[in-house]
Amino acid sequence: MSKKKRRLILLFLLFAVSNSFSQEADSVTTSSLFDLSLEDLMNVEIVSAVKQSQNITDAPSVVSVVTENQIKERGYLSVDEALNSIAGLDIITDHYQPNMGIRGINGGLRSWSRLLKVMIDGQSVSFRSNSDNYIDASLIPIEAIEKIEIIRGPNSALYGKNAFLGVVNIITKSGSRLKNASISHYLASINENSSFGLSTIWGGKREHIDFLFASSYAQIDKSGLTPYNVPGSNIYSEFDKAQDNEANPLSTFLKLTYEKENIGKIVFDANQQIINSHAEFLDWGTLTHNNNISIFNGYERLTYTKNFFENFNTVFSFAHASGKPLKHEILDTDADPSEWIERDVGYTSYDLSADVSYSFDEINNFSVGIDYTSDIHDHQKYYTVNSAGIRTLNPGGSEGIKNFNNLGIYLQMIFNAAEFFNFSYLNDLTLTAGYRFDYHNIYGDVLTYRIAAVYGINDKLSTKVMYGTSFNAPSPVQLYTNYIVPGGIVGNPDLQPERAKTLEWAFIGKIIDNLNFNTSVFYTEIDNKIEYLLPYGQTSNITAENVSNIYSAGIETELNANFYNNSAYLNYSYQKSILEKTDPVLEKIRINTPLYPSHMLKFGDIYHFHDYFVNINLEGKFISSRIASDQNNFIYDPINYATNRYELDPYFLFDLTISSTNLQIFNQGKTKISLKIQNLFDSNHYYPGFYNYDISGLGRTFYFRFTQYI
Amino acid sequence: MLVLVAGCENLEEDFNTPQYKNSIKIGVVGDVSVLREQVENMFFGAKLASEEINLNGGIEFDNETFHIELIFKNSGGSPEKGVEVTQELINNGIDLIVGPTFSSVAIEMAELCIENQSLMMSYAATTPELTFLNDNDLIWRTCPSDNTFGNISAQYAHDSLACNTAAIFYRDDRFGQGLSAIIRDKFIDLGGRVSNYVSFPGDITNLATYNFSYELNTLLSEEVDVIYIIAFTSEIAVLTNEIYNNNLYQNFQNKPYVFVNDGILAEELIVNGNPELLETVIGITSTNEGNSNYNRFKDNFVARFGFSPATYSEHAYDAIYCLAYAMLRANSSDPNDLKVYLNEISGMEQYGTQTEQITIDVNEFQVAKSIIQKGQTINYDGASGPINFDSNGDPIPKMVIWGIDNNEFVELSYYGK
Repeated sequence: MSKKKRRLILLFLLFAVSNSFSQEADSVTTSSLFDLSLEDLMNVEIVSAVKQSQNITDAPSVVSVVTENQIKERGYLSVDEALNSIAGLDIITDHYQPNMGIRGINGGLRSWSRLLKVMIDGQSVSFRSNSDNYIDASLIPIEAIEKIEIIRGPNSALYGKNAFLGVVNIITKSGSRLKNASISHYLASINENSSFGLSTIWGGKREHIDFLFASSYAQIDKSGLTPYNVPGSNIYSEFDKAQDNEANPLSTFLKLTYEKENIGKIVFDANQQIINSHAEFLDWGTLTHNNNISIFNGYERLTYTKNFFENFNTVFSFAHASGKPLKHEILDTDADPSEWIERDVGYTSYDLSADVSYSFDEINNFSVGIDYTSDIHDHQKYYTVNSAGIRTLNPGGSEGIKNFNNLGIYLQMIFNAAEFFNFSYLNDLTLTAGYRFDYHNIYGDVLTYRIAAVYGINDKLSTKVMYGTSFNAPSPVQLYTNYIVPGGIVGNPDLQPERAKTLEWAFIGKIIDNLNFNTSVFYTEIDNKIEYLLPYGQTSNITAENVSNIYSAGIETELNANFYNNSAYLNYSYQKSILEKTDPVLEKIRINTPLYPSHMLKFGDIYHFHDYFVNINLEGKFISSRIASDQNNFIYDPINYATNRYELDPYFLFDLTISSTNLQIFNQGKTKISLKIQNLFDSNHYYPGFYNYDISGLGRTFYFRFTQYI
Repeated sequence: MLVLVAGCENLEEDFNTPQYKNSIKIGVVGDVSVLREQVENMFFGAKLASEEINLNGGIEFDNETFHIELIFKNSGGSPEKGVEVTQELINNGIDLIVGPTFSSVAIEMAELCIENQSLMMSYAATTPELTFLNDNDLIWRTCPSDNTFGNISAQYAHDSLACNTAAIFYRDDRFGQGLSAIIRDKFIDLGGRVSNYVSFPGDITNLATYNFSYELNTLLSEEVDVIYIIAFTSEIAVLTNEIYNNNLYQNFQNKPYVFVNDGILAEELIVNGNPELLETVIGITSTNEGNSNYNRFKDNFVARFGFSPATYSEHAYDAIYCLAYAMLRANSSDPNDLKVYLNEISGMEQYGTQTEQITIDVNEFQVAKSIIQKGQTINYDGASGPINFDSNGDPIPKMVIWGIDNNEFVELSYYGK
C-alpha cells in the first residue's frame, strides 16, 4: 500500500473518531433496524414520482424501493449492488464501471448507465461531459442512504433530459435520523486478491441544525481476470491476465440543514466522487497494465424550502457541479509505457430551479417549476504524449459550442377524478398530468408529457395506467470528441436527442397480510436511438448516430413476504426488445436487441435467528442468455454479423451474508460483524465486451465486514 | 395490453432476407475481417451491381430468367482461409468467384480455381504474379496490376516532383513486397537513390498497440525527398501519426512527400491521419472523378447505401457486370463459355476486331441486354473507366495522382488513356 493511501485511511479514521464523540446517544438499536414490517414496506413514502411525498401505491409510476434496512441486511457495498436486486434492471460490468440497462435496453459501447437519470436527493449526478452515471462505490457512501427510489419508465415530463427510461433517486439520511456514528471496515478476497474498504458516517441534530457527513474509500483489486474469447477466435490465452487491476473509489457526502418555522428550511449538501481505476477491459486499451482512469465528479447545492402562504410549498435551489480528470490520469492504449494518452475534458455547471406547488387538499395538487442549467464544457480532446512529455493533439472530432444552456418549465396536476368531473363513482381514481418544455441551445425544443391514472380498487389493491414521453440528450462527448486511437470514436455534431414513448400498466397490492406484490407491463418505442455504428463506408472511425428504433415490451413482477422470521423477495422480469435499423445489405431489418437478457429472476431471503443474534441472508439471480455486442458479433461472423449472432450463456449467481444483529464488544455502542460470500458456487459467467472478447465476471468473493456504532 | 403487445409485429424479428426463385450464384470473397470498412464497401459495390441487374430483369438465356445471387465469404487475410472458403463455394457448385481483396490471398485462390475450372475475377488483388499465371484464361481482375501503380508512383515522384532520394516503408507480405520492389527498382532506374528500404510485420493484430519506433527510426535515419508507404488504409493513418509522434518528420529541413499506395480511403485518412503530414501526402488511384461513369456509379451507390464508395468498390461493381455481360453473350453461366467473351464485352479494339461495338455505360443493363440479344457486341465502360481486358486478363486503366488540399482530395495528374 502506498504512503498516500495509508495517509488517506488514517485521515478517515481520525476524522471519524474525533467527531463521533460529539454525537447524541444511540436511541435505535441495531436489531430494531431489522424490524420493519411488511405493512411498513408497503407504505413506503416516495418523493421521486411527482417531486412530492406520496405513498408508493399512489405514485403514478412503476416504482421500487431499496431501503436502508435492506442495504444493511443484504450487505450491499455500493448503489449498483442494491440496484441489481430490482426487477427490470440489468447491470453488466467491464470492471471499470457498472453499466445499468433497463427494460430490455442497454446503452452499449462506452455507456455507463446513461439511459437513466441518477440523482441524489433530486440533484443529477452524472458526469455531464458524457452523461454517464458512475454508480459504483464512488457515487455515495452507502451508509448515507436512507432509501433508493427506482422509477422504471419515463420521467422527462418532470425531470427533463435523460430521465429517459428510468430514474434512480437516492434519498439520503438526515443527521437526526441517523442517531449514531459508525465506522465500517471490510476486508475482502476478490479473485484471490486482498482488498479492503473503509467508511464512516456521523451526524446529529442540535436545535435547528441537522448535520450529516459520510465518506468511503476502497481498494478493490480485480487482477487475474482473463478476456473471454469470442467463439471461434483465439486472440487471448489463459496467460493474458489483468494486472494491478485496482480501483480506488472515494466518495464523500455532506448535508447541513437549518430549519426554523418562520425562516423555512435551508439545506446545503455536497457530494464528491473520485473514480480511480486501472480499467484493464476497455475497448481502446485492453490489458495495457498502465491505464489509470481518474476522474473527479461532484456538486454543491443550496436549497431553500418554505411555505410562504398556506398550502403553498416553494423550493428554490442553486447548485454548482463540476467534473474533470485528475492530473495523474493516464490512458494507455498499449503496453508501451513510453507513449500514452492524456485528455482534456470537463464541465462546470450551474443549476437554478424553482418549484412551487399548491395543495388544494390531501390529493389535489398543482405544481409548476422552472429550471435553468448552464453547462460550460471543455470538450473531450485526447493527446498523445511521448516520453519527452510532448503532447500532440490527436486528429478527429470537431470544435463545439462550449456553453450548453437549457431552460425547462414544467406543469403538473394531480387531481381526484370524482371532484374534477363531478362523478362520485370515480372517487378512488386519481389522475396525474404533467407537461414539460425544454429549450436547449444545441438541440432545440423538446416537449414531453405524461398522463397517469391510479385507481384504488379496495384498501389492498390498486391499479395504474400511465403513458409518457421522454428524451435523452446527446452528450458533448458524443457530439464533439476526437479519437483516442486512429480509427477510434469521433464525435458527430449532428446528433439529435433519443426520444421514447411508454405505455405502462401496473397492479399493486397485498394478496394476504404478509405477502404483497407489484406487477407491471410496459411497451416502449424509442426513436432516434443513438448507436455507436460499426465502421463502414468512407471511414473506419466509429461515430454515434441516430440510426435505429427500438420496440420493447415486457412484464415485471415483484413479491415481498414476511413469514415467521423470514423477510423474502422474489422478482421476475421478461422483456422482448426489437431493434429496427437499416442494414446496408439487408436494408430494413428487425432484430433482437443485443446485450440484454430476456428473463431475469432475482430472489432473496433473510432469516433472523433472534435467539442467536444472527441474520442469514441468501440472495440469488438467474440471468438468461443475452446476445453479444455488435462489435463482437462482427468477429464471430464477419459476413452475416447483423443476423447471425452468438449468445452469452445464462447463469445463476448466489450470495450469502451472515451478520450479527445485537453484538456489543465495546462499551460505546453496538458492533456489527458480517461475512458475505458473493458468487457462492463460483459460477462462471460473462458480461458482453466490445472489443473482440467478453468479460469474465468475478468468481467466489469473500467480504468480512466490521462496523462499530459509536 | 398484454394481448396488444403480444400481437405487435414490431416485436417480431425480420431479417428481410432476399428471396431468389431462379438464381445464378456468384461467390464474392473479401478479407472483410481484416479491413472491414473498406472490404464491406467493396462488397456493397458488387451488391449494387447485382441489384441493378436483377431490377432490370436479370439474365436471360435458354428462355429462362435468372437473378444474380451473391454469396459473400470472408477470406480473413490468409491464403488458407481464402482457399477454404473458395473450396466451400466450389463444393456448393459455385464456379464464378469475384475476389479476393488481398494479393496475399489471391494466388492460392487462383490456383484452386484453375484446378477446378472455376473462373475468378479479383477486384482488388494487384499483385503482378496474377498476370503471369498459367490460368487457362480463368483468372481475371478489374483492378490494375501493381506493375502499373509502382512504375507510375516512382516516375511521378522522380520526374514531376524532382525527388532524388526515397525511403520505402512496406508491409511485409506479398502485396507490400511486390509493390515496394517495383517502386524501388523503377526509382533507381530513373536515377534516384533509395536510402532505406524497411518493412513492418504484415500480421499486426492491433495497430494501436504496436510500437513502430524502431522501424521508423531506421527508415528515416537520413533526410529524403519522398517517403513511400506501402500499407493498408488504417495502417497509413496510424503511420502518419507515428512518424510525427516520434519527432521524425518535423525535424527534417525540407518536408518530404509521403507517397501512399493505391486503395486508400479518403475520409479515413483525412480523419485519422496526422494533419501536418497530410499536407504532403500524395497517392495514386485508378479511378477518377472526371469519369462520368464513375460519378454515375458513385451517385447510385450513395443513394443506395448512404455513404460514398471506397476505392475498389467500383472494381467490384465492374466485376459483376463483366460476368453478367459475358453470361448474356455466352448464353451460359459456364466459366469456360464466359471466359471467351470477357475480352469482347470489355472493349476489344486493341485486338483489331472489325465488329462494331456499342458502348455501354454504368447501369445500362437493359440496353446492353437488348443489344446482345440482337447479336451485336458491346463495349462495357465501367465505373472504374474503360476496362479493355488485355490478353492476361488485366485491365488497361487510366491512373490519377492525387493530393490533399485543405482536407479535400484533389487530382493532380493523369496517366493512361
